[in-house]
Amino acid sequence: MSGVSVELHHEIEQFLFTEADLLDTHRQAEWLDLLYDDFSYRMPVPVARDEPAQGQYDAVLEFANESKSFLSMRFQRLDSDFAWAERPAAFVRHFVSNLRVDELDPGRAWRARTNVMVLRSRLPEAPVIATAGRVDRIERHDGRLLLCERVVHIDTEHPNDSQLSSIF
Amino acid sequence: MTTDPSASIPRSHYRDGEALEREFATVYGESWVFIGHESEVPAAGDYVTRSMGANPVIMSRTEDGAIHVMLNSCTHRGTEVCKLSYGNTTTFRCGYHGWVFGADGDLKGVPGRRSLYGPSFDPGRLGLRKARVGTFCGLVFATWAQDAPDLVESLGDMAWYLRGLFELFSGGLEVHGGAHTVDVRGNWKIHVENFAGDGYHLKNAHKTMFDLGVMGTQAGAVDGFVVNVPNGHSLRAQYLADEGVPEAVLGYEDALLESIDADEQHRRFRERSTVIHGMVYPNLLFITTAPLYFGADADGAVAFTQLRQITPIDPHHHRVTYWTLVPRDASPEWKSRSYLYSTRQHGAASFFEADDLENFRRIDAGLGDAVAGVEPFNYELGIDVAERATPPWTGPGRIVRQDLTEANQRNLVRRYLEQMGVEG
Ligand code: FES
Ligand SMILES: [Fe+2]
Repeated sequence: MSGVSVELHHEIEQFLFTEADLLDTHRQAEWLDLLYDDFSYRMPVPVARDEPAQGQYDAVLEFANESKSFLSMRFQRLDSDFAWAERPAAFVRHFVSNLRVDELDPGRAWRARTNVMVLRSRLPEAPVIATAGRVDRIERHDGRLLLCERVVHIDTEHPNDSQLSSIF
Repeated sequence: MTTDPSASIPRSHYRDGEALEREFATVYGESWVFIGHESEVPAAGDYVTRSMGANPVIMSRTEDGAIHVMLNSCTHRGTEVCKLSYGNTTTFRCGYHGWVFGADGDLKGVPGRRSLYGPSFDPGRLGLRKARVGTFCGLVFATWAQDAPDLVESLGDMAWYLRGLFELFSGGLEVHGGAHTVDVRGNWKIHVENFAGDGYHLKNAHKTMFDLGVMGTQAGAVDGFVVNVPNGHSLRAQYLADEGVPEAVLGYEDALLESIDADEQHRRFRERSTVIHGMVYPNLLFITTAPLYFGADADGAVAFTQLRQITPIDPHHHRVTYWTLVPRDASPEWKSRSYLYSTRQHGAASFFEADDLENFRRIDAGLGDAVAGVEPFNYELGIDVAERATPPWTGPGRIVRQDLTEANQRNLVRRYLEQMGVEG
């Protein structure tokens, strides 16, 4: 049960849908605009441990650890004819569901947990699907919601590079 | 040593299951294969699970300090006895009928042994299948070939360079965090050959990185060299050409630089180097680089050292196991920065890596079949081209005074063809 009002829950959900849409439609500049300046994006490595209680994600190892400026560079290179992995662009589709919101700082900061399925397809290869749980920190700054932090828990211990190459 | 300039691995060896079966039997079955690092199993009972060619193996440490590598397969019906990535245990219990094996692989317990098995049953010959283990500079290798030359002999002159890479700092190196894997498209040999010494692809495949200005010291005036040794091992080393740069190993803390106790030539091998990468045949890859510059986060960028083990999944895919090594005596803060840059620059999700992985999949997509895809790959780069600069160090092996040459790839091809018993 979310600890926030229906209105706020709806607002955050719409924010996340828009955010996913910007990624799917390759509008990277607009997507960056939804990020807080010291945004961090992390994808810890899943690990098979003895006890379920030990946690399924490593505390040190990460597939990705990116900042806003780092991501801006990543998008900057899309304008080049030499961005081999981005030409032609992949088809990417996010499915975002199971939103749970917890208030962290009244009226200002929330934790939004979602389940995502990301499909990526680049001809002539078959589409690749990856699912993950996301834990976001969302804050309101000057009336606007901004994404401050995203931690992605991918659901496979041995992912392939296509599964890792989209932003979740 | 002369090498036939037209020698090449047949294209069929990049797409045929039959060739892969033979590789498992020869290249992987007869060579020393990299398994992991000593620091991954520091205490008695520590273990990790890994791949060794087509075989799942366990690397463990016993009370006496010895490191074991054994087939992760119960001797009763072949069930994997360990499903975990790493841990600490005194025994491995098979999930099927409950046979119990020690950390050294010996069969320790059999449910109902006294009443259900007769007097001729001999647990002494039913331990997990053990590989021969050899370690060098903290790197753990194993082989199934009981009669193969020992590890140091098989490394040959490569040993000198591994010392320069992994024993430069008096405290040695350790694995930061652990290992993880990513599966990628393309025959395993494509990845190995890239690390063996492909300086030629940089300015094209990674052009956007140069254009973005993130290549740091590698984008300036540099001199490069490649080195190869008969068993197929090789490396490529690049140095700042500007005489004005201080003679130091780039990207480490001052205190650490003071702890270097290597001899003069090993020191020169590392000083002013922007990047050194290479491979220990058949499937250990390494790279150590000076800091690159990633946007506003460039402040505090540090050097990093990464290892990769390449394992074929099928002819068209391979699994990459990644490790980041850090000097044991570096500060915790330095270690985590080094790991960060290792991930951002050469992690499987990084855009630098994306350029390479994209080209690997394009090679795979373009292989063709036995009718049309028969033209061998070309390895003539650098042949009959004058050698250039003088390397800053003197060392063993065949040192080629050229950066852009396929001398290392030719060396790899020759070793591979010899081991596979095929004509190029
Ligand atoms: S298969 Fe392992 S005990 Fe039977
Ligand atoms: Fe590359």
